[in-house]
Amino acid sequence: MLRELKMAGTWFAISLGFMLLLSIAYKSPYAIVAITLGYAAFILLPGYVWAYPLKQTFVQTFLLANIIGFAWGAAYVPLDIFLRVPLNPVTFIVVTMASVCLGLYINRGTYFGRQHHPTLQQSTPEKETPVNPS
Amino acid sequence: MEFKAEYVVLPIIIVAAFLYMGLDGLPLTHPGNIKAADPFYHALAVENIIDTHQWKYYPAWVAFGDTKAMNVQPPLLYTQAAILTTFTGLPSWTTIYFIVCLFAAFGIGIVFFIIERGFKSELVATLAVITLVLPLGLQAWFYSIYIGLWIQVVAYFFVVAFVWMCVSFLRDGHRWQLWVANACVVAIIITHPQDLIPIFPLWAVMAWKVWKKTSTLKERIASFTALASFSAILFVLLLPHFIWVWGDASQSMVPGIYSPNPTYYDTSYTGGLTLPALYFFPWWVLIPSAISIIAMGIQWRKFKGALGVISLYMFVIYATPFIFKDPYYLLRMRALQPYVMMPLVALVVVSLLSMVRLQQSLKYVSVIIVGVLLLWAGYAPYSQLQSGLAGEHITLQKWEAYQWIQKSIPVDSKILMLEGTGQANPMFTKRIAGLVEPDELIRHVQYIVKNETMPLDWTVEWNALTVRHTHVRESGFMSYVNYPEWNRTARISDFDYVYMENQNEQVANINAWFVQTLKSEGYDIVYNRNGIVVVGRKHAA
Repeated sequence: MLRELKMAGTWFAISLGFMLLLSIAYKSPYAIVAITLGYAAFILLPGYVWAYPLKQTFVQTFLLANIIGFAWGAAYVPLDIFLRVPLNPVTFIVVTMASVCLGLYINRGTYFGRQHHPTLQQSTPEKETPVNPS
Repeated sequence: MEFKAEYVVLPIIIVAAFLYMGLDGLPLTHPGNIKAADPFYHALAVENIIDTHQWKYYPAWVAFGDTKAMNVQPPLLYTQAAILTTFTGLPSWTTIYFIVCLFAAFGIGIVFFIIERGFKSELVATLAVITLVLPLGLQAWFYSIYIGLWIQVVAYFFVVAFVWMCVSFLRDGHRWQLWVANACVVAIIITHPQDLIPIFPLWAVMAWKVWKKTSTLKERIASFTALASFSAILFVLLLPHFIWVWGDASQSMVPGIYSPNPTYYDTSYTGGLTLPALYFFPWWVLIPSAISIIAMGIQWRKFKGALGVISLYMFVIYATPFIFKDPYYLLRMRALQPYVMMPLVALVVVSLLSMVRLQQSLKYVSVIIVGVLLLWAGYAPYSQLQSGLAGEHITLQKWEAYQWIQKSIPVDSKILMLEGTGQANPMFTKRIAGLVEPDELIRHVQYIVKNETMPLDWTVEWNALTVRHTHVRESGFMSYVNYPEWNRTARISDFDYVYMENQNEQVANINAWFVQTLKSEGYDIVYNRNGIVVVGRKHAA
């Protein structure tokens, strides 16, 4: 039942490795790891949760995750302008977690249900009849 | 695991990101990687959010002590960089540059999918993206990053992403593509809203397709919600900002009588640096591009989408001087010309390859060899550029002085900065500062030599002038007024502190005279390290 979640996690882990390579220009081990984890936590993860269920290839999913994850920063605008919620670490964590939880909830059919990603269908023999992706 | 051509995109993104980040670098000790005024204020915009925990208003030091001056810089890039700095401890001038370079590289990845969908050829897409990494001299391909148009680099990524979704939706018709396009528009609104203008025709095409494709009211509402909901909501929320803050800054964007001297290659916008133009490209790019355009024109039914997008783009970057009074930001989109030209070149190269009987795998190898050779040829100018950009506006020693100023000088103090004020770098003092231009200093030194007395009036540029692009402050709920720019004429007695840099022996002698004279006027040395001297009024020190 959690195969999709595991596959999404695998893709995310591969993306993390890719981000490590992208961060090499920092030239400091601490900085490379820190920026990778920071970027992955606050931009890539919220994007991935929404992008993975779109059933695209790995590279496209990675790019879509960056688009969506970065655009999620728009949530801070009304919080700041209208509600005057301070933009501090607590707010950043809450907004990010909200994006991830909302993404998991809205796409629960993919992550926790029977809708399967095409990649999963190709690589793993199905014991039950798969739901054809649209 | 089956090899897919798109996997080529991954090493290309890595190479591109590495090259872009390596150009200015990611120094952890001081902002030595910032080479121009614009990036200084981009990095400061990140710090402002971290310092004040909000974006809406500028810190007091930006607006002469006013705490309700409206922030002009759109928030998204700065907020995301602020998050990275907050949680990693890495300095703002690296996190923002990291994001900018990353998204410049990601944009190349997206171009692969646009070309693959548009021309139905993985070969053309592969060669196009390899050549986009390092195709030409810096003026053509690196303009946005080295000039410092950092928010536009990120905005251009979302413009390219929007084009991707547009091309994909017109072919596939999936609703999720509308949602992602919506997200792209949201990102552009709060990264660099001027870049919405050129994508509006594409948005209209998508809306038309939605209308044609949907037959029931329920489907129409669902699809238009996907296309426009978030961006419309954000636009409405930011309407006061659009009208009174950004609108104040963008008077020049309204249609009007065109400039009496519209030029294609105007230098006045960028202080003498020419905007990228077609003549930046070598003949081996221009001629194949022209051949591609002609060939596509002959088969216009097959290539009408691509021709439409290219025509729209060329119109925006070359024809708008005849429509808008001052299409400054639209013309900067010329930085995306390689994204148009190199796929056209790739189309010609692959077409020539197709005339030779080769296995598909060998064609891929040929394409990669051509691409690698072009990269290799581009590396020499890249290295030259790297060494050309080795100078620092803020050295480690200067950064230590600025950090001392931030920690030791009260926030409402005023500093007169006699030397080392190039490219608006004193913004990193985060204080109200009067910057003396070199010509002004020379003029005063000549006066001192002649009269042996301190000149009374100094003409200064007030710190963070480029940040105060508009002078709008909030006076009440949905109520805005202008606040004035301070008079540029000031006296030394107006300042609590005076900052001097002993850049060479002559300057050191002049500064020594300044210090002696100021001591007799109630100042004393409060900082003296590494050739940097700060004197402060005794009651302020």
